[in-house]
Amino acid sequence: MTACPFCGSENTEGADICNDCQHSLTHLTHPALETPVERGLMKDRIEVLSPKSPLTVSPQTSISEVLSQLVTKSIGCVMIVEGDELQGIFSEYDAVRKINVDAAQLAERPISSVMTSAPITLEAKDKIAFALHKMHVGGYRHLPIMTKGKLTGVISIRDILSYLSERIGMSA
Amino acid sequence: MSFLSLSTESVSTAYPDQPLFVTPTSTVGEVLQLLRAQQTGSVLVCGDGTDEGKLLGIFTERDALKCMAAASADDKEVMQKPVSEVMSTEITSLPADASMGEAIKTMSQGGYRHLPILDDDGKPTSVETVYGIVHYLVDHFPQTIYNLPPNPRPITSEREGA
Repeated sequence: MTACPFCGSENTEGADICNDCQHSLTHLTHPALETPVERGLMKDRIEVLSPKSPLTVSPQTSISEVLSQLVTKSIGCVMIVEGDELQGIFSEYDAVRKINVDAAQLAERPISSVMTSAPITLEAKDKIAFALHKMHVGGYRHLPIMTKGKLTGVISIRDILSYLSERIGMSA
Repeated sequence: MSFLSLSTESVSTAYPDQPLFVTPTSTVGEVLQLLRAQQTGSVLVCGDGTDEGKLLGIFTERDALKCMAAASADDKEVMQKPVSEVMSTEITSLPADASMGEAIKTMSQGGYRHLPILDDDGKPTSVETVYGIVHYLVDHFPQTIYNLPPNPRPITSEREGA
């Protein structure tokens, strides 16, 4: 609701004139000026974050192999790829949720049995705002980045945070 | 639209999580199950007895992953170990009156995902997560993020026009 600045009565959001006093309300609904951060989010492409090349494994790789790779390379997720096609993603979150205390029993099972299949992907040409949207709304930590349908990179929520913190530092 | 005031706003505005506490003697297996049941990414290991409430260490998903890797590579004992043997003891924390700017800087420079917030006595009151900070930032430009279409590249199923 918008309060009319002339008579104070409440009007529907976006109304052109006040219901009570007929004064024009159009000046109230001018779009707010964008901040440089917002402009950047809508203008910069995901390429700007220079997505890291992902660690890829085949669906048959054993769980113990994947876990040890995640630890030794100190990364948070692997992409499961068959041929050229992205089959799934396996992250720390999946490990805690699906493996947990059964790590010893599941050690020899293929990674495809615990991966998250058909993850949400974005193209390197997409704007950063979409990446932030997907991560924030979906609660994801990593997003696979494709170029022309092929997996080429991965971005994490840390990349987004450091992008934002740099920009905020500039404008604040 | 409100403007970011990172130096004046307190870190407590950025959706800090309620902390999960465990004692140093809890086993790794118990803590892992707690992480899964509570769907969080970290637990705080706090002293009991004489140093009650004092923050001794933090155990995050990263530490959990290391334990799971060890367990899957034939280390049978790791799940029975007390959490105090595997937790991270070098803790970066924030005072309760820290500003948002400090929190964001600490988190993005150190590459942390969880920062405990301590009160004046050094006792943890909450945990700031990277998701909370992102949520806080998105709150300052909701139109840019929430008004986006679900698909960045909409595909029209049929050719437009006659």
